[in-house]
Amino acid sequence: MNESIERLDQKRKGALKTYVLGGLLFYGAWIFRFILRETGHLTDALDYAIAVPFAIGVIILLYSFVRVLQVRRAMEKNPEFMAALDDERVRINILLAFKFGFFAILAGLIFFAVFNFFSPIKDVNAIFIGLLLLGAFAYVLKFYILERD
Amino acid sequence: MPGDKLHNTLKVHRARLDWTQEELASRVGVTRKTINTIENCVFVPSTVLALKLARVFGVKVEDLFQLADEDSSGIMEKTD
Repeated sequence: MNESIERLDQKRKGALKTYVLGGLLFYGAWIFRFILRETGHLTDALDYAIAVPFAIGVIILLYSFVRVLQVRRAMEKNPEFMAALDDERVRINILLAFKFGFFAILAGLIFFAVFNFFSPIKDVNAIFIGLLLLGAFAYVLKFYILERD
Repeated sequence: MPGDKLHNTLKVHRARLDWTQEELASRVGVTRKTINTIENCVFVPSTVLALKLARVFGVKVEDLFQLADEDSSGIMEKTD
């Protein structure tokens, strides 16, 4: 039982690490493309080049999402796994990660506001999507940092 | 209170019973990392978990946890 919990915990950490890696690629490519497009520097060649890390990021994110779901399913099947892997330290870390995600969204808002001051943003919907992505990514990143060994 | 450090003798009691962190974690229903962070004074456990830990060791909570200013035993050591 001990070993199974430890193995599952390691699997969860691995899935989070993969998610962070995928998120960096995905979000990095997205924000880079956004800046280039808004400032009028996005050429077709650049657009295709950015699509590569973006696509790789999406694949990695999907893969990590499946792994997280597998861990979650294993936890739900066994109450002991659920109690141990969702203990009070983990729950506090989840709250801290939410707080970090919230502040990341605020920081993102400031970024877009400053950006808009210098170069008026045409695609407002992109801001909403970008902030949502940023919040989700910041949450997982912080949770991973808190949970890693 | 924020800033107050809670010292503990978890490692000593674990050694007394020859338990690993994993074994202790299993007995109180938490992960090994939680035990590790408590031992290293990184995470302060709830009253419920502190009571559970005291119960599995067969000692009083006060024997297991002490406020930093009360501790003079010098037996606290960081674990990996």
